[in-house]
Amino acid sequence: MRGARVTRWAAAVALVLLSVGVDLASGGIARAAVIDGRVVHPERPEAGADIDVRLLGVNRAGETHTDRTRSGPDGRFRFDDLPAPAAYLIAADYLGLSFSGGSIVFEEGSEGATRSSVIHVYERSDDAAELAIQSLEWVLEREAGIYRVRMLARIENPTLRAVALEPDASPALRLGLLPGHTSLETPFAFGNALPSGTKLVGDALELRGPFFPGTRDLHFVYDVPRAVGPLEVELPVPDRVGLLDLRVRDFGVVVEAGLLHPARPGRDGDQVYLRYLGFDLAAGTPIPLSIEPLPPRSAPPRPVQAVLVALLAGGIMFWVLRPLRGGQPALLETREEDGERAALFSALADLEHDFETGKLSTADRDRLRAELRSEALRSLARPPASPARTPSAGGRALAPSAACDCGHVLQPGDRFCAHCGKPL
Amino acid sequence: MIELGYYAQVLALVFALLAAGASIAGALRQRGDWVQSGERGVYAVFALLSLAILALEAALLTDRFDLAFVAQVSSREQPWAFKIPALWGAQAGSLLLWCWMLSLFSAIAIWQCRDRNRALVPWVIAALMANVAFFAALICTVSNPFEALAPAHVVSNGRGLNPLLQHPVMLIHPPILYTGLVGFAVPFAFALAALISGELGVTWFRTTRRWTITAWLFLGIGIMLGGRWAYEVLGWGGYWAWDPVENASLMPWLVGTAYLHSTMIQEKRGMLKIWNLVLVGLTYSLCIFGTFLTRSGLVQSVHSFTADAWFGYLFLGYVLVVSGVFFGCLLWRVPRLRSQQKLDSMLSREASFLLNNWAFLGLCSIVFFGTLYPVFSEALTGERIQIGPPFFQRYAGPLAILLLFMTGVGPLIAWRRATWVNLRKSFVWPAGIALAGAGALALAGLRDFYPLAFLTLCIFVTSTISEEYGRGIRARMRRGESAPRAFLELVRRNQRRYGGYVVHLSVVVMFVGFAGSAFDIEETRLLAPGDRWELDGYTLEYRQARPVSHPHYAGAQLRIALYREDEPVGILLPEKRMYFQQEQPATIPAIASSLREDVYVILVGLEPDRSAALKVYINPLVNWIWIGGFVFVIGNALLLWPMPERRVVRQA
Repeated sequence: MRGARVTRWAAAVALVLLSVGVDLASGGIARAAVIDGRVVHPERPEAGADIDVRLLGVNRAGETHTDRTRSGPDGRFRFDDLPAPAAYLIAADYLGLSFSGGSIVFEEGSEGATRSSVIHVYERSDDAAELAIQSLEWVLEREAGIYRVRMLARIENPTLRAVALEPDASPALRLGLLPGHTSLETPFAFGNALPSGTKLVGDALELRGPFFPGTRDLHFVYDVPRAVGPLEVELPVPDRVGLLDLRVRDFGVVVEAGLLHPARPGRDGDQVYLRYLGFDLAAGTPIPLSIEPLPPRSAPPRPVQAVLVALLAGGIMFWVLRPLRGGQPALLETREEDGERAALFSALADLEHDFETGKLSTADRDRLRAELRSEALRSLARPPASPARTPSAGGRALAPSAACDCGHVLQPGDRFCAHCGKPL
Repeated sequence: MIELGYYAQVLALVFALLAAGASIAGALRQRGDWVQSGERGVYAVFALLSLAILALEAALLTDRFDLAFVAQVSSREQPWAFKIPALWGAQAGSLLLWCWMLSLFSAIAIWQCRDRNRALVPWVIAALMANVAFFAALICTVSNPFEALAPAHVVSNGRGLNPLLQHPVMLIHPPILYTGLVGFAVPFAFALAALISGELGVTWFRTTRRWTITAWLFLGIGIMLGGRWAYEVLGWGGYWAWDPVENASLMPWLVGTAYLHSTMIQEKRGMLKIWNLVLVGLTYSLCIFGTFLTRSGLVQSVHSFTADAWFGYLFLGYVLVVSGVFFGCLLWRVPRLRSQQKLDSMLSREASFLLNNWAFLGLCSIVFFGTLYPVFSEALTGERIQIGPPFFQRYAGPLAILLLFMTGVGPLIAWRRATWVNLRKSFVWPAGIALAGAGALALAGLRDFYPLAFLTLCIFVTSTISEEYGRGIRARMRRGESAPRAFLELVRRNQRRYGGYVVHLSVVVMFVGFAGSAFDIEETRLLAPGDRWELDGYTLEYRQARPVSHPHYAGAQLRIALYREDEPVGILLPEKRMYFQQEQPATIPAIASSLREDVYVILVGLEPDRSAALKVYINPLVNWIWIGGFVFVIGNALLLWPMPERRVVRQA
């Protein structure tokens, strides 16, 4: 917890300075900026009066400036002649709790400017019944043999009270940690510090507040040393969670996450995170988690693949080109006359059918049948089509002297061997 | 083995080009051995693409998420039953499937011609393998399903198949649709081969008649399954939205239908040779054009593949090349294709088929124009204007009526020339029954033009089909056959004619369903638990809402009791889901089905106080469309079934 107790002021101011890039290196500090504001109580407007308001500022040179004042009867306060450029944090103390008014930055060239701030203060309560873990994000990453766990919990306080419990009271909420965890760290950023009533007990982080109305994000990190091999744990859910979002950095793993729903993998830069979601998880819900590294893929080495492909290609090529070596029999050509005669036969059959089913009169039937028969006779009288264009084996066209296997000489247009009856 | 998949694709491309080249050279230089080498090349391409497709399936089943395609369409948690169809869940895999099916059909077609049609075979091989080579080139380069992810982007788990596709219908819908679209490549290749080789008689289309019917059948089934899937999964209350992707498969089906009818005229009369070639070329061009529409992003669609426009333009270029080559060859052969026969009479089956052909082409033109209207309007005015179902319904409706009328008229007219006396004799009963039916429908309160016209014509067509069967059976019974035997002999001896009538009957049944859509009811209401809602004789009672939790999704489900005239009908459970892996919401409708109508309930939204916004559709007669689909399959099965007599003839 010591890591978590980095002083809020120092961390916040440092972040503010880093983020805004205020350049005070040139030295001289003008004393012209003004911050005014108001302390607001949503239920009792008069409660905003006579509240102690504190200010902490720092420039890039690390020189700090502190000041304090008390709000007037209407809750208004004002700080004059503040050094600028600089960054400031404002807070109001009420009922033993510190209510933040946020940060204010005077950038270079903004000397003489006035900025405003509104600080909301609330009544204090020790009733934590309505606090809830709205969402809980677990991010597991594996680096150098250890699992690094990043957790982001969003705590919701739907009341208009600042819930803060005494240090010896039962915790308002608990967040579970993986067994074997190291100490916690909070990322060095504004607002990341854990609430003052937070205590790490065993594998649970006990939260006692203060939690102001609205939502508050708690962000912390810890490690779980793990030797090579799968990680088999149970994700602890000591209190009800609205949305559990588990992300496992994809380093070639198979993840089993019990009743959590597999979701679309997320991407952060080049990193892919496998995601699993759980909704409305009751306290104590068992969530077994297994992270098993995938075995290395065993593909045949490239030379072996190349040999296999070459063999495949060579074998097929040999088979495909084999007819070019000769020995394949000649083939018959298309016979269009067959189609024409078949069509005439079919037309005659249809004619009879149409007559039998009453679609044609006898006179029409006789006339059409006579036409079709004469067409058929003409077709039969025509000589067979020439086979000259038929491709044949070895580049030889089917010659009149071609012979059947039995030795009988075939004639152009033969469909069967006249000697042995073999179809050609 | 998975690693071999990509190399198998590359080798397939090489051998496809080799087979095409060897066949062309064999045909030009009269070398049968080269053609045989080309044939073997076709089989080799099929074997290699089979190896590639098996490798990709193995990658899907073994969670090879180092492959971009697998990571895109599968996940560890996905049931294996959906890992297999994930193959067609995205562009690269679907192209591989397309290519493999083309190679399979090529191999079968060439094997069937191993001892016939030898003059056509080299050019058939060339045409089919050129097509295979195009798709193989795509999957080897710009849309490679075996493309590995960069090491920094390799994931241990994939995103999973789009949940909307995780539906039993989707296990079979895309392959069935592809069977139809790809299947038309075979008649196209034979037609092109006929043009190039000069074998312009009936052989090319007699050889491919079964291929044409099969492709047409599968395309039809695919379209219907797509409609059924949309109805059950998409949750918008309908089955057909005139969406570009739907239209993409409808257009070749319409032209294919025209082609199936017009080939009969060439077969019986030796007429329409050019027309048939135009139709078969157009059908296949539209099959590829549909693929272009689906993959180019040229027109907005709810369920097209997301792709770069340039990828689509590859397809457009391909369509232009394919149709350019085909129609170029057709122009070259026009002098040899002029018909010796003339239309004997406008009162003939030929004339009725011709009219039916023009109606099908007109319908296809309307669909084409409506689908591409946004593109045309943008080109002309700079503004992209979408036109929706009302346009299609307005212009397609009259043609649909004409087609339905012709469905009844065509079978009753004799080939060559019919006389008025015979026509009167044939039509008097069907027309009388249809008019009596129309009168009864009008008396029952049906006044809307389209449903009245559709249902009247349905009665008319059913009467003509019944009359045809009746006359045929009576004619055979006059030869001394019993009625059942006469029926069986009639169908056996006139398989195409009487199988075709069953297909016509399926159209009638479907039109009954389409007619019902004129009376669809759609209403939305907010209900609190315990509320009752009276709607068109039904009462919906909202009983409770409960959360739904599943490993892959969570959501809410409503329990609604449905009553008709105070008699309980059943419990409906409409759902709203959120799929986590895809971060995609889904609406699961609840449907109470009957032959009379469907009550189709959608959960639009659920408030924290458990009040629910419900949308209810009452879709009269909609189930007759699916029943019509079954009849359609039966009719086609009858057409394709090898009859004993035919086998005897072949053996002889």
